[in-house]
Amino acid sequence: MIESFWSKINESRILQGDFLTDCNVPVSPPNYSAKQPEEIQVDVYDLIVVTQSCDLVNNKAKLVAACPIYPISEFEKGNPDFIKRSKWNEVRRGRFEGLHLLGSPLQPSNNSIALVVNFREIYSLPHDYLIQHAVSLGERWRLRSPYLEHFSQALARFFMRVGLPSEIPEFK
Amino acid sequence: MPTLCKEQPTTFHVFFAEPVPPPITQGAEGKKLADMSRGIFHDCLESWKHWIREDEFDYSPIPPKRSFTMYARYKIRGRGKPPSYQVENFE
Repeated sequence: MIESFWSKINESRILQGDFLTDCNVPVSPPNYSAKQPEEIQVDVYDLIVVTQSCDLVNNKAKLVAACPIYPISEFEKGNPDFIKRSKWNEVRRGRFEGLHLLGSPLQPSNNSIALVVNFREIYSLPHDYLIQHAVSLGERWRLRSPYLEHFSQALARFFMRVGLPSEIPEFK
Repeated sequence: MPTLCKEQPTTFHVFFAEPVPPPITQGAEGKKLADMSRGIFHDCLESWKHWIREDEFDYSPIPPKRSFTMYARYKIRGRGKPPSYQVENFE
């Protein structure tokens, strides 16, 4: 029996690890001005909040950072090599620093419906918008401890990477 | 302080000599042989490409669930002011 990574909540407060479905992410055109209304593209993503909870609770962040989160079946459609080359076990062990796996909220023991977070894409959205959106969602999922801290650490590892111009040759 | 190190590869690597070896002879037969060997080389390269440079395996971003367009007017408010930071007194 695998315990759930998530707890079900229904509140307006946003915390780190909150899973917010169908968030609108406006994309600014390359050239824009304030002269007249312009047509802009809005992309819709499922996002997981990465801003620290203490900053959110104390209103220290006007903008909330969040990363896209996908069912792995969706991710595989764009990255078929992940199926062919059995890469999910490497992601599960934390060997892909840009990706992080989280169990399915409803069936944590079923890894075929697990969720994957892409740390390479981070969107900043207004705190007020996300609060309003969270209220409109009603019941939603929030990452539980210690899965939350594990997730946060994975994000930190993504940022703390250091690339070297050269390295010790591989031992063969 | 922990340091993030490159993981040891879990798969073996295959390295091909590059560039493709030149034809052994300059004659028509030699050219034919060289073309044939080059074809075999590329076939091998294609079939073994999953094993080559395994450390450079990467992934692509996934497009959004859906997109739509809307009209918006930008309001340029100028340079933002720094937020007030409370300095705690640790005396």
